[in-house]
Amino acid sequence: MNARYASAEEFAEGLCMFVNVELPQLHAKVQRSPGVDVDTPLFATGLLDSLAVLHVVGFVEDAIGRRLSIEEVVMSRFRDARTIAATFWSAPVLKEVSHVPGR
Amino acid sequence: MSPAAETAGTFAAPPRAGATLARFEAIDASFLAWAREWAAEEIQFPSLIDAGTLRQAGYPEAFPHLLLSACRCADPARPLAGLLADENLVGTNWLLSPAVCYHAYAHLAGRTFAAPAAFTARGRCFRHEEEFIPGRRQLEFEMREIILIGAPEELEARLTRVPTRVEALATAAGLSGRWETAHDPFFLPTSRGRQLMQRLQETKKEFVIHGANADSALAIASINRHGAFFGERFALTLPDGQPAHTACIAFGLDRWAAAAATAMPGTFP
Repeated sequence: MNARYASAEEFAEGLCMFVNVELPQLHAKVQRSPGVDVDTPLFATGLLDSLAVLHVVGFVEDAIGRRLSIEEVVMSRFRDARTIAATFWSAPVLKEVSHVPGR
Repeated sequence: MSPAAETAGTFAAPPRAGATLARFEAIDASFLAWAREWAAEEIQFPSLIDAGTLRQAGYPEAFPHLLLSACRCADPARPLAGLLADENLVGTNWLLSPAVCYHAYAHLAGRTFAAPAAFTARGRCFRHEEEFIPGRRQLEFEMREIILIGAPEELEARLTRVPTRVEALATAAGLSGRWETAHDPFFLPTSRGRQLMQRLQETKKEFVIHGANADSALAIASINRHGAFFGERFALTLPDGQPAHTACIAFGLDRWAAAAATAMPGTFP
C-alpha cells in the first residue's frame, strides 16, 4: 500500500508516465516518449536496458516504500506496468524460493 | 608439527576414489554422450587462464571476489620458514579458471561461424568461496560445459530442448528439481542493473534440486544465454559480419555426483 496511488490502476498509469516522460530525461538511451501503456512489454523488446531497469525498479520501490529483493524481480511480475502494479501495489513481501546462486 | 603436517588432509575438493570416482565419471559420461549427439567438438583446456582473457571476458570487473591467482616465489632462495610468506609470493599473469567456456571463446577468437557450432569441454574450475561444503560449495570443482555459437535462432532451436533433457537425466539419477530464473553473483552494487536484466530477460536459468529444508536448494545445472556479449568481445562473427551469439549449458559435476550419491547410493545408470 502507498499514499501516492489510490489503486493499482493509478500505480500502473503512474509507472507509464514515468517511463514515457521522466525516464528519457534520466537516461539518454531511452527513447523520448516511447509511448508505453499499461500493457506494453517493458523488457521483452529491448525497450529498456540495465540502467533503465534500475530506474524502473527504483520507481516501484519508492512507490511501495520498500526495497525489492533480487528474487522478487522476475519477468512474470515485471512484464508490463499492469502486471507490476497488480503484483506490488498492495502485496506483502514476495520471495522466490531461495537457492544457492549457480555457476 | 611441521607446516606440512598441520595442513595435511586439507583439500580444495574431496578426493575421489572407488565407487565415488566411478559415479562421477558415469555422470560426466551421460553429459558427454549428449554433447556428442550434437556433434560437439571435444576440447581440453588447461586449468590456468591468462588474465588478459578474463579481462576480455569481463570477468574481473564483474566477479573480483571469486578470483584466484597463481603466484610464484619472488625469492626462491628464501629460508623455508618464510618461503611461502605473503611478502614472498608475487602474482603472475595466470589465474585459476573460474569457468570453462572463457577458454573456448579465446580459443575460437576471430572465427566466422557459417553454421551453428557446438563445443564441449570438462574442466577444473576455481572460485574463492567463504565456506567449504563438499559437494555444494568448493574452492575447486569440475564442470562439463556444452558451448553453442551461432545465430540467435539457431541457438534457440537447441536450447529449447535442453530443460526437458536435463530433467530426464536428473530423474534417471534419482533427482527431482525445477528450472528457476537466476542471476550471476556480481560483486559490485553498481552491477545491480545487470543482475536485474539477467532475471528479467531470463538469460540465466538454473536447475535447482531441493532437499528437506529451505536452505538445501542447490543448482546443479544452468543454461546461460550470452547474446552477442562474447561474440563482440572475442570477434566471433556470423557470415554477415554481425557478432555471433553464444550460450552454454553447464553441469556442476561435483554437485550432481554428490546429490546422486545421496539419492541413489551405489547406482547410476
